Amino acid sequence: MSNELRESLRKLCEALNQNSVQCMLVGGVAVGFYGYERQSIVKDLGRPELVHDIDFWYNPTITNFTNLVQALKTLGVDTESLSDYVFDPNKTFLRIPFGTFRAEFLPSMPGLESFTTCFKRAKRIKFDGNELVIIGYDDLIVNKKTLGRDVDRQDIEQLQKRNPRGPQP
Amino acid sequence: MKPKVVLYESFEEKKSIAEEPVRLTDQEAFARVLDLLDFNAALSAQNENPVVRNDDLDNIQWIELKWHE
Repeated sequence: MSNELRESLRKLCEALNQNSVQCMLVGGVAVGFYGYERQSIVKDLGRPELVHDIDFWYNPTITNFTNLVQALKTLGVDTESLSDYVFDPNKTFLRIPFGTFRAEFLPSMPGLESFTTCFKRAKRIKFDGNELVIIGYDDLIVNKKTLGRDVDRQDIEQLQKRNPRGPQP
Repeated sequence: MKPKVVLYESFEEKKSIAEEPVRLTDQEAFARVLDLLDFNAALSAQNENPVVRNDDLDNIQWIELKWHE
């Protein structure tokens, strides 16, 4: 264990697993995992961001959301504001600050319809004693194509250069 | 481990004797992503005027949670 971010992520993943939260890593971290380590740059300023986002797509069911809130609570996150909150599977986006990164939990991913289907296809790795689920390569590409921002097009181009034969086992 | 010193006559020579790339394991690949993020964060923090993204550009209505004091 060498860095602060890794230790924070280990604790977060441990809490998620212990509370049976179904979620998978998406976004820039997934892009990095498949071979393109892109640094987040603040648009128009041309400088790296101070705080990075680590994005999770969570299964947008009430049960899973309740488990997610419970996991965050056990970590010490103040979830009081969610006690009267009416869960919306399309709009409940959560963001939690973790020092050098922000964990973001998204209930939906543009271009991808079924969490369950993508969850089955996702990559599973053991990391620092926890199971981590990372969005599958093909699903990541579909999501990036749908988002269609400059940064997504760049990600697709770089990923396809690095994975010319598609995802490797 | 003691660093190995290798001398080259030309850049082409360097390329030709370069070791075959080694494919990282999934765990190593993921660790590397986190190391890079951590390194970048440390580097950005050294800026006298650190750059923080303007979230107003984000069209998502985030529920921002905080930690217990």
